Amino acid sequence: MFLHVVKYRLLAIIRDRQGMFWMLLFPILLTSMMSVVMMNLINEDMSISPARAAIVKNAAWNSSAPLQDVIATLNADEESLFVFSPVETAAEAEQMLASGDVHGYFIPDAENGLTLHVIRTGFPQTILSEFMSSYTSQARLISDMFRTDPLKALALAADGIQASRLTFEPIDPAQNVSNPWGAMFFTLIAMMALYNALQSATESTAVDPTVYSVGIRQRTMPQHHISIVLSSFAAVAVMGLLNMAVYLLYGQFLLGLDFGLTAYPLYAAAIAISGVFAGIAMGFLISALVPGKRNRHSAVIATSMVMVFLAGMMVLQMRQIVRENAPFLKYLNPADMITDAYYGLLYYGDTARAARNIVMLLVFTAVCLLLTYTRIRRTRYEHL
Amino acid sequence: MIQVHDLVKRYGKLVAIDHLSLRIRENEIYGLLGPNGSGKTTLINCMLALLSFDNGEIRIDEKDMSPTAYDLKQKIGIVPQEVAFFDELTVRENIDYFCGLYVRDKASRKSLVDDAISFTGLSEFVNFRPRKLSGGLKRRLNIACGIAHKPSILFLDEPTVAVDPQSRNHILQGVRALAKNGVTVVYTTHYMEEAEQICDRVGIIDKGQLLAEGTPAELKGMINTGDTIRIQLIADKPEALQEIRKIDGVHSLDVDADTLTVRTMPGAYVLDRLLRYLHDREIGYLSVASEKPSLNTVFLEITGRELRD
Amino acid sequence: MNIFKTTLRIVRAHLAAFLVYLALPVFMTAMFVGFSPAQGLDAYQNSEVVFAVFDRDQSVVSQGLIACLENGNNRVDLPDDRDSIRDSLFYMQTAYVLDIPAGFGARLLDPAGEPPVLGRQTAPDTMAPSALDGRIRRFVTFVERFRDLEPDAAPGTIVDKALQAAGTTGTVILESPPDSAMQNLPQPFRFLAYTMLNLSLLIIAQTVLSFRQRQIQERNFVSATPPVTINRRLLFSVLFVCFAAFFFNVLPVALLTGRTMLQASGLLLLLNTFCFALVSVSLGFLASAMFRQDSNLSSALQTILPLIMCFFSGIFVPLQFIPESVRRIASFMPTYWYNHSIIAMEESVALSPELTRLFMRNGAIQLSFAAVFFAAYFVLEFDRQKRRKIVAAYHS
Repeated sequence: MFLHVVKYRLLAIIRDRQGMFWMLLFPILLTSMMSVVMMNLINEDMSISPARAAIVKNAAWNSSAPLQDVIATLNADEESLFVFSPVETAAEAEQMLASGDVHGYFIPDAENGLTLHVIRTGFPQTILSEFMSSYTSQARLISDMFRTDPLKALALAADGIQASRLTFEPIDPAQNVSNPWGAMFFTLIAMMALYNALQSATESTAVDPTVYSVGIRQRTMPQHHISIVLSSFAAVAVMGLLNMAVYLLYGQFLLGLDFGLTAYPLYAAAIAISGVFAGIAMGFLISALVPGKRNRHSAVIATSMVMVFLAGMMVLQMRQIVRENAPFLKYLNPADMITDAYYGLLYYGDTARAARNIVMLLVFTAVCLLLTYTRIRRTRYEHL
Repeated sequence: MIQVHDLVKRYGKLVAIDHLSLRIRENEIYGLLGPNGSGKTTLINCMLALLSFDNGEIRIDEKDMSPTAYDLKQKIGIVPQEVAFFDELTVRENIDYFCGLYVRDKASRKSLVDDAISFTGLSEFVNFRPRKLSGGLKRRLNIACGIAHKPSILFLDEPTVAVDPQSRNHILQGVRALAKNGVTVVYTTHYMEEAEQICDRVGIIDKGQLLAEGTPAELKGMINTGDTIRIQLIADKPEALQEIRKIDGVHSLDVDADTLTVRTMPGAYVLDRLLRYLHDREIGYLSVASEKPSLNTVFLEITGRELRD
Repeated sequence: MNIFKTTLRIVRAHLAAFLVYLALPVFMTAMFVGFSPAQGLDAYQNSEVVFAVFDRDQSVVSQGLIACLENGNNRVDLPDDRDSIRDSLFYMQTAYVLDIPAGFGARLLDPAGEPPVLGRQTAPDTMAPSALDGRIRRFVTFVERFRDLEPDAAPGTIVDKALQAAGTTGTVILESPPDSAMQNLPQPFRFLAYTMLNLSLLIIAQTVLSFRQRQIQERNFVSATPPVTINRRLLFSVLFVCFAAFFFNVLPVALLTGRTMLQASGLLLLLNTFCFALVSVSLGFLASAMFRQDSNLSSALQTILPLIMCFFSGIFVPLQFIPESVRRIASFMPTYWYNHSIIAMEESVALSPELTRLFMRNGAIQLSFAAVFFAAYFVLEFDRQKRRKIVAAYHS
């Protein structure tokens, strides 16, 4: 009986064009579109671009050899955060600033060191301002020193403006993320998994005599209706897993996205499988709580979309904002669990984090099914 | 075979089934006749253990009917009021799916499905999806899904609603054939003609109560009126018509515009005298029609309103 | 009035979906304006860097370093675990995490000691860390210099002097202070394109498809009210409901951004939004005429069309990262021109005649799209009515 129901439910699911559209075609379309749009973004190495500044070669410039040395040194350094363009006049610098060629321009000043001119605020300007502060404070120290101990002052000046032996080491060597945008695609995998809830809503409806006449027929069969529900679950799971496999293979090998199939095939598969189960179980639970076929589908779509939105689908940072402000939601949102598992796995190779999320997804599935069972175990209805 | 005893089902303050008791015998077609909203479907849903009820007892084959009475459910077939099959499956697949929930063996299921298909006349449409079928064919598919496993008890809940005459006849013939093959049929309808045509016994239900029960002939015998004679008059002479009441065997008289309706006493022959009366008073008429008492007449007399009010 | 009421009732039946699209701009505005307000500036201010510090040294030097960093930046607390640090940096909630190891101060104060080392992790996709790197190096350099200049000074004195010296800043002149509205407003307005498109497609598809069910059309056709009158009333009812929905879409943005909305740049954004409102409505009508009977196709379109248009036009993803070929395709979409104006405002410092002209030009392009969509809608509608008359004549 189990296989009999699974066979026919699978047939019905495959032939439901609208269902297949939402469960397979729509995620594929959306992912293809996003990958085309975000191709540059994903492949871009987001290493910091330097702050650009013009510097006016006025009399103060000409008389300040240390300043010229500093600028020359920084311009010569390929890893420098600054690119300076010495210009002849302030007007020229102003024009460069207005046209957006530079973030700001410096006017050397014999008394104050440097003055920075900007037309907006932002990090490039802040970096230029920090440079100016470094230079000005050092210059001031050295000029003060000249009054008391010219030899030491000369030694200081010879060291340059930042002569520290300080070195930085990464706190977390595994963290080598140059670009976070690929994480958006993990939310699409989550969406793909949660859309299985649509099919489980359809299946729930098929055994519910309050909304669908087929439910009346199924409830009069010489089988416990929970066994039919479980068969339906199996059918949706088979279809959901097939769809997910198609989606992941398409994304990984045709679109060139990293879904972890080559580096961590077992973990990637386990996340996908537990995600599909969680989506299906969520659909059954929503169906058990929401009356009416149409309402169920609306509720499933709305819940899924809200969940993937909170997991960072449209605004990448949303996931972290939610985690910081409502941390309990991570236990209620399977989209967040799926996203988190892939994120941990593919950005940091954190298999423990992936495993933790897989367990959470399975617990979520079990809780949903348990709640569904307690809700629908009443075998007789008050109203039909 | 099916016993319902003192059944009460309430929806809040509304009493849908009001202390109803009935007994359906083996191999009979039992008609549940009543207007829409009289409680027929609620009664069937209670019998099928789909609905909980407030009081009473339902027994099938001397066993309590309950949601887990799978041995009883194995014997039952159901044709719900609304068509109940999957739009995504073909005719054959739908029948096979539902039959498969009763019959595990694939080989015997195949022949059962074939039987159901030929029985309902769906052979030409086996590979069609339901949305391509006409309303009548959908009803037949609905029946095929309910009978494929050869149940010994079949519940048919208004199976001919919104069905063309040809399909309706097909369905009614089918029900009779099933009964001949030993199936006990519980048939709900609000079409009195259907109940008269096919039911061995009929229970008349209104407001959740069983008002009368018996064979169609027995039910008609319960009432005080005989034939109904309708005469379409040429001229409107109401004062002259009142005398008709005095004719021997006339039970009641009703004059509505140009139509004269006369109900006779049971077994009385009045037509001849009535026509002579009109002739003597030079009251012209266009047509005369005489009807035997129907279940509608019975319902009218019992409840004071017509079945399709 | 009847048709108007019916339109409202149909809309009410889909209230949940509408509320989602109405709530989205509130959320986005709160995120971009409420959480990180950009003040109107009269004088230059450095951009704040959000940073976290784990001080395992607890020395005078480490305290001094932290005090140096806190000046003008935003220090936040972060749980001292690997996942929290990773998440906070990856999702750009914190730009910089500094780990001051035990013994850092002692190393720094010992001229013959090992070179000082600091643990550091930075967020991707931001220049913010560079600013803090510079600040740290400056402080450390000064500590080293004062250590060498005054070998007998107490650590506290060295740190105080270093802090004082490192705190010296040069003069930054902000030429023509930027328009505060132009910093606050564009971002929430960008997302309005998505919600407005969804709202119009939803409202028009639901109401028009309901009215166009065959039986209802036939009922309307045989009613005492001429079909032209019914269609006209339906058109106005739907337009009214759409614009009411748009109003409630824009209202939270206006309320949350306050008076900045009344500045000239705010009004320009409103004008841009009005042009796009017409585009959304016209597109909604066109879609309803093209997929008039197929509710499945219609609901698929409702979901996909806004997503495609918004993704291609840089509503969700910064436009500069979108490939040139995709941008060329996007230029055939009205959302591109809507967003183009918003980007131009974001990139400008103050309102200029060039910016105003650009808004006008992009507004005109959007209106042209709206005109084309409306024209196509009317052509399809007239064609359908003509065909219906031919069929009616044939049957009579």
